[in-house]
Amino acid sequence: MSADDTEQERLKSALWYHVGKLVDEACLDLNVNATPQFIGSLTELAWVQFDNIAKDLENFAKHANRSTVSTADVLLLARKNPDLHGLLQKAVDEEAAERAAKSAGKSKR
Amino acid sequence: MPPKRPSKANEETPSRRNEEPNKDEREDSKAKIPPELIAKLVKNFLEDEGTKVSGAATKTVGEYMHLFLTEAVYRAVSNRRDGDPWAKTTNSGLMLEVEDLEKIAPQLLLDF
Repeated sequence: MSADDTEQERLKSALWYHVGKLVDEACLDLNVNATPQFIGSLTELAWVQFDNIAKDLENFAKHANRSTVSTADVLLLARKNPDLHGLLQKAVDEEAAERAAKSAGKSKR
Repeated sequence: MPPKRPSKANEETPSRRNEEPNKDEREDSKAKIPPELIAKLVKNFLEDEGTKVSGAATKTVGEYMHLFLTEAVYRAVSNRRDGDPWAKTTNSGLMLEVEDLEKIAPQLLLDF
């Protein structure tokens, strides 16, 4: 149990570090500053959000009789927010195009 | 009334910008949570051991979280500007506090 707890703490620290970098970047664009407490709370919020979406994704995949979570499941997360859905759809399309371009390049060589 | 920390805010901006290229070599200036960490975090919260996550899905979750976190900061700032007329005149020196996050968290969670 304690080994599991330390693993959780390490994951959270890693998330904290990257949330901090992301917030710094957004703050630079807006010319504002964020307190360390703000970053800490946002990390906590992201942590809970990860818990929620991971369980949602798992159940979406199960509902489609799959054991692997696909991009379609992630898009389903944004079903209630058309703007978010559009942005994620764009990311998925770009990723697919990148992948197709890479495999096309490989088969040519 | 001057901003709380005008000099600090103005000094930090150029120095941090100079650091940016060496700080993040993999991505072009856009800070991102690495897919490896996303995969570990999602795996950590899955209930069924047999469930797997495809690489493309992991990347999309990364984009989702990037939007979530960026949106949180932008909403916190815009909320502060609307609530405090003095902050409207100058954006620099604005410090985001936990209360700013508390105010926007409920709607943010409903939208994501």
